[in-house]
Amino acid sequence: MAVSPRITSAAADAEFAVAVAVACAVRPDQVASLRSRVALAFGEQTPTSLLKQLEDQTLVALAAVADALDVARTMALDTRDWAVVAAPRRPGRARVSESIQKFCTQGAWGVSPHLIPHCSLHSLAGTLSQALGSHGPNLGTGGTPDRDSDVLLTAASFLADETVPGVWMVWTGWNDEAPIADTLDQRVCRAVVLGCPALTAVPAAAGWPSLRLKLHTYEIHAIFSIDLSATLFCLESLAEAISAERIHTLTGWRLADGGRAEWIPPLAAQRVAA
Amino acid sequence: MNHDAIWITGVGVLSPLGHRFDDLADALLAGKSGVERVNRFDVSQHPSQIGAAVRAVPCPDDVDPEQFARRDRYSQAILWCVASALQDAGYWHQRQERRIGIVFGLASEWMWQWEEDHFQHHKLTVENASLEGPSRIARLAEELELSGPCTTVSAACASGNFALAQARRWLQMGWVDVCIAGACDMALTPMVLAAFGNLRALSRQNDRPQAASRPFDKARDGFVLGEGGSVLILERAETARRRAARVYGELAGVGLSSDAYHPVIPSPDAAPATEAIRRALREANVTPEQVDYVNAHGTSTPVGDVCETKALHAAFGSAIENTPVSSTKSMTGHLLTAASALEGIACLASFARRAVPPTINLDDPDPECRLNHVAKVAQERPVKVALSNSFGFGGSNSCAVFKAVS
Repeated sequence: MAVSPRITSAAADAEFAVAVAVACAVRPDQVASLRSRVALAFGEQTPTSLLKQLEDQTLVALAAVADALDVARTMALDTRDWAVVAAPRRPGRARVSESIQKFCTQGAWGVSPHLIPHCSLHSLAGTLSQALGSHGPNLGTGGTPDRDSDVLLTAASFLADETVPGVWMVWTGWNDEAPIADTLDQRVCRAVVLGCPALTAVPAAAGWPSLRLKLHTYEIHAIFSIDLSATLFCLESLAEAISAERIHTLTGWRLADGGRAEWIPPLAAQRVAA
Repeated sequence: MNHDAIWITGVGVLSPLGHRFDDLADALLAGKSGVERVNRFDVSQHPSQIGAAVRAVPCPDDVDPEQFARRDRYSQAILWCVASALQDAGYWHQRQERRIGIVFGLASEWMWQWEEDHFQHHKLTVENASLEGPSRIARLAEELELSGPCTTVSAACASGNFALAQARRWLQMGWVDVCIAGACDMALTPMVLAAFGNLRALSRQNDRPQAASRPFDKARDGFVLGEGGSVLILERAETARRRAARVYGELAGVGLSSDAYHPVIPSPDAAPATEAIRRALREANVTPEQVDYVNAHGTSTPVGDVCETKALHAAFGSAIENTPVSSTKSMTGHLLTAASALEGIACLASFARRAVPPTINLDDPDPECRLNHVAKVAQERPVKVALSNSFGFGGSNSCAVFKAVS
């Protein structure tokens, strides 16, 4: 079959108005204590039977979302039925390791039935959706440290659907996936949560920062000439960008597949608009 | 947003029933089961000892067989699906001349790797992250020199429909000229078979494998694990028309929602699943009366099949009495992450063959699953609109509507 000459369609950029931005970092010895915070925040939506099975990254993300929800409430933001897009990084390492050992010693009956529901790419998004009581779509995306920007690509497509009133974007991961015993004192699990209503629902005077996604309207192969010196978008650099010291600073990243993401504080947003 | 219709112009499939569109269509319409006793590893201690396996993964044309043999089985499966779909669409040799994106469902590539490395290669990747590489989909996109965005997604068993929805949006948003959308799951491994078995999600009818997957039947006792993958090539109708492409059908609408109820158990309240079906119908601009075939999620679990029946009744009203419904999982087993992508292809097969595939093993329909079942044998009839439901762990609900293109 012949293929006709190349079609170059213009790629549209995407923009997220960031109403809520929360980041947290938790040491391994602090993770278990998050259960009471999560239970208090989400009540019946996170029963004990669920809480005791949660993977560590999920717990940290739930605690961050609880904080984000508190902020959203003070802003009278209606977050019901927002979509949830979440990117954990290879969840379940400790639990799978344990299950492999049990499988070797006890056989098939030693494998935990909670492995699949709590250690898959979708597990975090599904649990967050349940905790929030949200009936909007929930989706896991990325899953490896090189793909944190996948959240942006998915969230943008959800917000393009007029039935989705907003989206929670959630990232979580350990700074170091090395064996626990080697680096116990340096290990930190981070989570970042951005709450973004659909642009049509943003009040004109909101003055919120925004996160802009610029997929290149590149000629074919331009992907191979992108500026590799820019920082790759990732959970850690996003956490830094929304920190108190940096939140009013314009920050840019390159995306894994080409293109850029930019954190635009309110004043900078006005300058860009002007 | 460009609201031109989105057409399907290429198909890649790896399934227990064949690795080509025509082979799969033939097997589904013949009511052939792909389920057998698992013989790739010792299952004597597993609660469920049956599955719908893919034997050898074929090497795509134009790929070096030696290089292909060096890949792990999972990567072979993904490459087969993507390459054969691009070849089918006529884009394989021109793939660098288009802005081609990829949205691909993989639920837990690292877990598969940890298990594989431990048991096959005696390598403790699970305890040493420095042994791990980037995501399989990112690696593949780079290898094939695809210039559009790529992403890995998972909504558990609904992943394929979520991938289709996202690919459709990217086309409408102008982010890509062509999009590869699909999913793959090679979950028939000792640990995964054990985990689902211990969850009591799997059929334990080990002594009669081909009769074990029996959606909507009174004697159902769980699903049968399957493996494989499916990929569809999507592009705007205008693009496909211009190059006189072969068209399998239109992806007319996708509806998505969440139960927000339980990580594993479907909500007894059918409202969220119903809403996903309604959204898909609205987006496709079709009424329930216009739907000629429903490919049900129909996993063969006691709870799930009843919940889906309720949702179909709520979304369709009285029209469900006359709408043929079947679950092809009765033949393919449940491909988990890859299920909905494969079942999308079953819908396209119903257009091409003017026939509806059956639910095999439906000897005694459960009165709680009162539907217009296509039981045991295919039904010949023209199909112009087909709907495919998929629901997943994490409370994900999805529904895709496909239209025939004349």
